[in-house]
Amino acid sequence: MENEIVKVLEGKNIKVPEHHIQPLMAQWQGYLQLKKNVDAVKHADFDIGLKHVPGGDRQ
Amino acid sequence: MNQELAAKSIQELTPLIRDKSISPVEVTRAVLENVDSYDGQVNAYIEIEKEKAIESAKHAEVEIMNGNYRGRLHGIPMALKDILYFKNEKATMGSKIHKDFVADYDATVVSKLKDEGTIFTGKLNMHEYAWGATTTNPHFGATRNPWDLSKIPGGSSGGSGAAVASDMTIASLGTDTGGSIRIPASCCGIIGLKPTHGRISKHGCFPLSWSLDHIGPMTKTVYDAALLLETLSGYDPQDPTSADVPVKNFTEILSDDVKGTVIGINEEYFFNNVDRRVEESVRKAILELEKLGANIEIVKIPALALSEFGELVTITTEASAIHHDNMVSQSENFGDDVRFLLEFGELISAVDYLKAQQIRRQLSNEFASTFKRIDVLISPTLPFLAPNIGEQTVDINGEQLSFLDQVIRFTGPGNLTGLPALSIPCAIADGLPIGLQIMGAAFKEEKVLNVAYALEKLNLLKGRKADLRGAVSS
Repeated sequence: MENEIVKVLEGKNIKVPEHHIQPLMAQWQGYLQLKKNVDAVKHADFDIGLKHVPGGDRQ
Repeated sequence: MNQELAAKSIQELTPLIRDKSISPVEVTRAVLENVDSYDGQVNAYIEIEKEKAIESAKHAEVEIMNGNYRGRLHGIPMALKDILYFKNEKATMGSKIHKDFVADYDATVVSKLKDEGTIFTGKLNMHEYAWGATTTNPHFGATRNPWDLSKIPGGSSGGSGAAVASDMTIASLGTDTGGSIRIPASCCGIIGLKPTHGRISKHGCFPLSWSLDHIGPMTKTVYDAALLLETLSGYDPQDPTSADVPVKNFTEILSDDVKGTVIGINEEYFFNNVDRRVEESVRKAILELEKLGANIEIVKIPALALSEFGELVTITTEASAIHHDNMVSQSENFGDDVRFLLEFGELISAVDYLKAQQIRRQLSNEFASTFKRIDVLISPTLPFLAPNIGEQTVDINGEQLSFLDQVIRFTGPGNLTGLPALSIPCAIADGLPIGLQIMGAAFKEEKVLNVAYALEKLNLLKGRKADLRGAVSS
């Protein structure tokens, strides 16, 4: 887990200070808990609600 | 006398300035005297523009004396959050990276206030890049809560909240992406209004999270919030999220009559795991509204159970996208807490971001159908009282919980849905104000303001406000 977090960030050329690694892991665990509820829900009726404006939005 | 003048609201000052009983110079000096007395303790200002403010006030005085009164904000001194652009002036965003950034245009809200003849006394402190809710800023120092200097003022617009509460500005503007207007309003015992997304242009405001950001008033009274909303609203083609909807005369339609108003209460989400002093105070205020003739309806909004995920994913990823280049080239120049959050946002996948947007749409639709049955939804603004500066946890009924996890629990849904939401103080516990949140349907700010106005008339704080005189002399 620790390696994965560091690998993802280093892969983006972002240096992670040593003292951030444990808190990042804890935050990630909390995030996975929240995600569990989301994964259990079906959103078939809801798209992401973005609107595309053909021709751009600056007339 | 000067302190009394600086303590007045816009509504109280307007007729005095208009009929020339007092000069904008007197009011500006009174506000600046408070800045001299208190800001050493509170640290609400990043930059104090004393001479420029007095010059502008003198100019306003001449205009008014010559019969060129511009309107209700003419000659009113205000300081704004240092994230709004003023042409040819520095805007630091509370950061080291942008400490010397000079904007080459006025933010739309700044331009509107300039047209009204507002006097600007300086730039206010904030959480770095608005990415946090404590205003414990590593580059400009922590802002302190005027009610208790050992406590946070909330954030990210903590300088605005503290300056309004300590009469170091007559009113202010904040920005709100997860609660950054309402959280400091709650902690500092003032009014904070996040309008409907798109109501006030964000052109010239440095973004935190494009789809969640809002600008709104932070004021001493509900009338002042209505006045600033009325002044600053309107379609702006320079802001792609600006809404082309009619601007209402919010001050004219302001009413404290709540007879027949339907107030929604959602027990499962908004009254779950709340400090019992906060819960009791908010429920008491709701009872008072019921006595005035409002009807209470219990509502269910199931998608709220997913809103923390939606808010967390949207805000962290959008913020990390905005700051990505600086995270690669100079991450050491961010404050440690902001750097941490920006690292976290880089970890979340595009799939999860899109799931968050699905949740957002579901939540918006559920709120929309709920608001067909109710006029407003009332909840606590925060589930806790303002913690000590530097604390990472909050105490909720004896349990120590992560500040980060708790702080935007009740305010975040307003950002995800874009619905208007206002925080008003409803009680004091342990010497600290408690905020009550009123949410409304899209572009129905008048209903939110009316319920707030009715609460304000009840004088639930019994006239108490932050008093720094003892802190300064001791």
